[in-house]
Amino acid sequence: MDGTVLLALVGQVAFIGASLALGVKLIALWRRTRQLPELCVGLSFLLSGGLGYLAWFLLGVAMLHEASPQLRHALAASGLACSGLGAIANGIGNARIFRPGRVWPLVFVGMLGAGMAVGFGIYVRAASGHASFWIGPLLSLPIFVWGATEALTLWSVLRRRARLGLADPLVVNRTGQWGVASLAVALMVAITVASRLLHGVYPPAWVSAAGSGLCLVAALAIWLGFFPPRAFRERLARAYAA
Amino acid sequence: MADSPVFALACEELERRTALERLAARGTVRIALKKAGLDVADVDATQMMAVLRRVLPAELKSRGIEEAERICEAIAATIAERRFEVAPDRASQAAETIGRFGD
Repeated sequence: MDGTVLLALVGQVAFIGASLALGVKLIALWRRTRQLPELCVGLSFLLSGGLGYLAWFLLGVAMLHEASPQLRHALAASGLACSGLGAIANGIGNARIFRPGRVWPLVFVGMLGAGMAVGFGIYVRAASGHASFWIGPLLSLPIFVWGATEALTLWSVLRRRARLGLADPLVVNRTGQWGVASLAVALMVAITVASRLLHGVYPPAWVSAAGSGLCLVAALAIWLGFFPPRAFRERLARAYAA
Repeated sequence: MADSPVFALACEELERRTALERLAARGTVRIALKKAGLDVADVDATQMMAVLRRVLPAELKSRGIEEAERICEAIAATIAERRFEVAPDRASQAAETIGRFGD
């Protein structure tokens, strides 16, 4: 198997698996707590990173095997729906967690969500491969960039507090890894959209390799942040205690 | 946004116990809080006491103030004697939510 194909396979499967696992975990948490942030972030990972990326993965396979335009259109439309809804859930979660009580984040997410809905409406009525496909990914980009910025800014604050014993090192780590995963997703979306504009439907090998590498980074960040192994947790505790 | 009453008391005590003037005392405490990832508007007593014991002594020494540790410990003791109503800041609230995600 070609190295790029192997990287794509490993990266995408790891990212889809990690996203599904985290989505299910957070929705199970929401069933106990009934708190909005875990529901939103859980839906975001489940729909956008899990089911949405699974649809993109299957769409890639369908294109390689020259599947019927109807099947490709259905896969693309379901991927768009999952990714769009996931991005909106992510935005509402960001607003609730990082900017509680503020109106502008909800207006911001609402406007982007309305744009995504319009783009989706145009795409499902159009032919497979219609340019309106890219409206949703393009509008989801500011949400992921915003989420990454908020998480990494909070991580910077909490890291300083943790050195004084004022923040839990595990939470500091989770916040940072969440920021890294969000940033990797934002870069994946940006690279994919830019590649489509510059190179057409079939991206050059380096774009696929970069996208798959970012998938791996995001998967690793999700795993270390939300499912940290015991040895890693102990190492974190020792680092902050020192 | 108004300053936290804990910040106000720490600054008053620092001004009273050292030769620092009001502006210098407030600026020094403000810098120490920033280094600790805290804000003057919503720092609480626990956070301020950690800053007084772990960050502020070095700041005072760098400004040529002697017996910095003893002064900071005395201010911490004064703060510990009082009760303050300070709501958790935005970072603490977010950290609490993200902390739940690990459950």
